Amino acid sequence: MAANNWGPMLWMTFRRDVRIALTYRLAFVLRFLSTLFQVVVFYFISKLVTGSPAGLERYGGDYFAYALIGLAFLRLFNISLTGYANAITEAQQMGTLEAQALLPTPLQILIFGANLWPYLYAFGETIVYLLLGLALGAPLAGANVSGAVVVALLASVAISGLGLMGASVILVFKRGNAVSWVVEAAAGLLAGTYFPPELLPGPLQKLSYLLPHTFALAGLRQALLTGASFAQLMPSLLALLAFALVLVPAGVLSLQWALRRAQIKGNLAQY
Amino acid sequence: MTSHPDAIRVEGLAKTYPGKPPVQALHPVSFAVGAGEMAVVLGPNGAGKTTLFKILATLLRPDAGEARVAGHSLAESRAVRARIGVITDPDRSFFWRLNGRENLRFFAAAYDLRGSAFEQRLDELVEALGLGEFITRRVGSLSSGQRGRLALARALCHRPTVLLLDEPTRSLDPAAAGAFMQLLGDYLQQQPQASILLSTHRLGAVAPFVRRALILAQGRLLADGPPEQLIQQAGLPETATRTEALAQLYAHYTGTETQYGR
Repeated sequence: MAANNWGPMLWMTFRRDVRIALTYRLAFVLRFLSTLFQVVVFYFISKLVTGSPAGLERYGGDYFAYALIGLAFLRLFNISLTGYANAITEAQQMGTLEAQALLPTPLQILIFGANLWPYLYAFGETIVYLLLGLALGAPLAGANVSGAVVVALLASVAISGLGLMGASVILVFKRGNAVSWVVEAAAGLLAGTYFPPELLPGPLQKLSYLLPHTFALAGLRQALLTGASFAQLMPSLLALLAFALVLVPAGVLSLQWALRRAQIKGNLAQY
Repeated sequence: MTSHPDAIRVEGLAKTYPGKPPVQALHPVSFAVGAGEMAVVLGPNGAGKTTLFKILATLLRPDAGEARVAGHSLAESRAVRARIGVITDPDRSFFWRLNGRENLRFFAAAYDLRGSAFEQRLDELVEALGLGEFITRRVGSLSSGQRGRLALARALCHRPTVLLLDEPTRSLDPAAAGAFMQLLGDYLQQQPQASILLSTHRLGAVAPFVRRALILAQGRLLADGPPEQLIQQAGLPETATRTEALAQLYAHYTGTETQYGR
């Protein structure tokens, strides 16, 4: 057997999940419709926002464009945050987790692979969000797309660290992914998903700096709404790199610990 | 691969599940299964059979003792997994939205069986296990018996040195269980260096194929040897068939009757 076959197994896992997803065709249609409705709802809500509230000015003052970026990337970041735990829970419920744990490929690799298709799909949805926004007049014409892609990918890596910790929580507690719940809620409230963090009271603004989402969304808005250069994006990129350097190793270690614990308790497949 | 006289060698393997109170599932057990041998583990529910199989398959960590499977220590889990074929839960271990071929393609890839090598092996398995009628159907639409055969195909696809089969005939009817055991017998003939350790309650189905029985009860290995020899050692009356011998041993050592289950 080859020294390791992680690459081919990641591909096989991705391919498997695409084929499974293709058997649920109605889900594709419904998710597209939900994206469409969400964008339209925020388009009309934005009509209520007049003037240029604090925090919007530096992105051009358009609330619809501001919210669009938050909506478009929140789903992508949520996949990085919850996808690993979801993959474990689904495999536990289907009964396939133990069968995969019996393979010579490390289970960590298969769990990582199981998030590739959901991530790519969410990436596609993000593009759909942005295109719908563009069609409704969001000022994205001068966007630095490559800069936005780099910010999004780096943010996804950093948030994946939290996602791996969430997966560990699921392996230990089976239900109640506290890590994902806290981060998802905090990202919605503090990170500038729906409104600028500048509107928050001072202490909460400081708390928002503990989330990679805050730097990711700031960088993405700079890149997409103001066409900021890579040099201008550097503060966001460096912050996200720092998050990634801390969170990813912590996530990997926590997952290894949780898998070892499941091997001792014999409850890997329980949910 | 390392040459080794025993495909499975277990020394003092023990397991207690942590909890309140802790549950001692396996008291120290020792045994060996040689190359080319098929051994059956018998015991009532809760005897520790599944715990033993899970430890040998590296799914579970023992508290004490050592084991070597296919020449490798359990600590070398990747090496062990590459050389074993396992059935734990034939009914619920596949991706139900995919068909049999797609499922096998995924699992076989972990053993570097891809492309034409996979197709060739699949053709062999389809013929040997009679999968042709359903291999392209979604697993969710298959019967338990068909899923059982698919599970065996998965366990055999990489030509493992050791097969660990925990109640593989659980959901099979008597005829299917007999056919299943015949397939295992055929595999041993084709792969004389392979070994099979299986557990079952279907004594009638396994009796023609096994020369060795291990009887577990309450986590303790109570007997280990050829059924006829164990009958003599226990001072039990001779029986006409091996099925009856196994049933008698089961009742003697576990204190519970078993239905022969063909």
